[in-house]
Amino acid sequence: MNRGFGQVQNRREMLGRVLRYATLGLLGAAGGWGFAKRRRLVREGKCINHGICRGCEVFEKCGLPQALSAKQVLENR
Amino acid sequence: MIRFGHIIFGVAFLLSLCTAVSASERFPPPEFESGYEQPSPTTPHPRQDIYEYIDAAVLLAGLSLSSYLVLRNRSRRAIFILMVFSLLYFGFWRKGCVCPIGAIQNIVLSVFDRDYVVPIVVGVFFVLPLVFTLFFGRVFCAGVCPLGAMQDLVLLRPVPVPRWAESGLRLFAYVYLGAAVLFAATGSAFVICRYDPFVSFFRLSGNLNVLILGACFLVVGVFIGRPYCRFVCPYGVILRQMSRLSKWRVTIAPDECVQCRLCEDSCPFGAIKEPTTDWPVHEYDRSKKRLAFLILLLPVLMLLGGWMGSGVRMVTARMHETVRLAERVYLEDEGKVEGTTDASLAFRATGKEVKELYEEASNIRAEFGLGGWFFGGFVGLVIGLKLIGLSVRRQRKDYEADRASCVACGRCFEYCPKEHARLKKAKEMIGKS
Repeated sequence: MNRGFGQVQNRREMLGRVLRYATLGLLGAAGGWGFAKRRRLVREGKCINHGICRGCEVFEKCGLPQALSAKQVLENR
Repeated sequence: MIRFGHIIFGVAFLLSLCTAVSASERFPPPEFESGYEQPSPTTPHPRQDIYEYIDAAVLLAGLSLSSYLVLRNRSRRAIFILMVFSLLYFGFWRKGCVCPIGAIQNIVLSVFDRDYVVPIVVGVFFVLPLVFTLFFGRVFCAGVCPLGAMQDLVLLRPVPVPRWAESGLRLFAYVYLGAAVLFAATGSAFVICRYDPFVSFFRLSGNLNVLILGACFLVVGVFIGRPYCRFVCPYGVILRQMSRLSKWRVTIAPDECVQCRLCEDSCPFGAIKEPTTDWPVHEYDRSKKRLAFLILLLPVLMLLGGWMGSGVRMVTARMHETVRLAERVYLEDEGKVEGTTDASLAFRATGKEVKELYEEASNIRAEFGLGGWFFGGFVGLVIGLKLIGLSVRRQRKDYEADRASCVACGRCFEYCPKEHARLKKAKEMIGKS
């Protein structure tokens, strides 16, 4: 292996490392943004599951009319 | 001998069947006025939270195991067993949903729709394989993806795909990704799920056209390794790029390559790259000029693509149901078509102003116009970068698995004599202890 090739390899590896951790950071930031958005919608009293109560993660705590009637149906079963 | 051209002809014939099928409706249109009964859904029922978290845990375990088997254990047989398990679990039992491929659309929609959030499990399904790919390469494709597993199982007589065809066909996946993002961003459709060729097999139900498409992929997959993964999969596009950055990766030889060339034809996915030779000086100068020209061409291609993408907004916007409805109502009002559709009837029953509907459709078309610039620009960028990539010579001193194309299936391991020596040594060690 000649010296030039080795230097190019090292440069590529360093660039790859920077990009890898930058991508990882980006994924983490996107996840955080998603959580923040979820919290905001719940705080604003908006439905986060397109009006479908089944399988909704905040159903137990939800006070929207649709969720209340769904809870009533479930209680009367 | 089976030729590449024969396969293309066979696929064209099978696809031509789709046009005949789409000519007639499978069921009469629903009649809402008297005794309408809800049809049973073809998509799986939402599951309880706990099962969704179990799925996420199985995904995590599958990815971890796949990474271990690919990079440490180097056992094709073990990878194969994991692949079959994933096909049964995520495919036939889990009915192919949630999958990271379709999750792309949820993520995009959550970015563009103020009132939509991605369910946590969908987010986990999207992110986990990406994180693993950043460190271990495409281990998701190797043993966890049910779509890949399905195609891998039918690969019986692999035929090499010419490099030019491989490069050209691969562009389709980028176009598909761009289109999926455009349609999800505008809230028009989740095209990846709608045209998922294998989900009909997993659910044993669904659209007949898509079932035929899936059958085409499986027939082609007997000869061409994983055609969906290589030429169509939009998630594969992202994984390809992430895999270029991976910290660890598949190596054909367990240690130093002896260049025996035994592995040369072992990869059915064309992912093994041979060592490069030095370039003649005149060729080097010519390639430098070509590279400069292509770099200058890149913005032109992007602008051209953007202009074309925006230009076809009237066609692409028809994917949105509001635009389709507005066009139908317009044609009915102008007397250019006879009769009504269920959608137009339902719209008229709401008493909403037609003008309002037209305005809404016009806004959506404008969104498609803007989105078309981005979509076309992206396609232009991909084509430009592809051309640049073809004119850049990389230096390789050994036979290497291409980081981006290698799906880490482990087929090449057993072709390496050094791997045989390693296994023999390991057996001896176990025998002694």
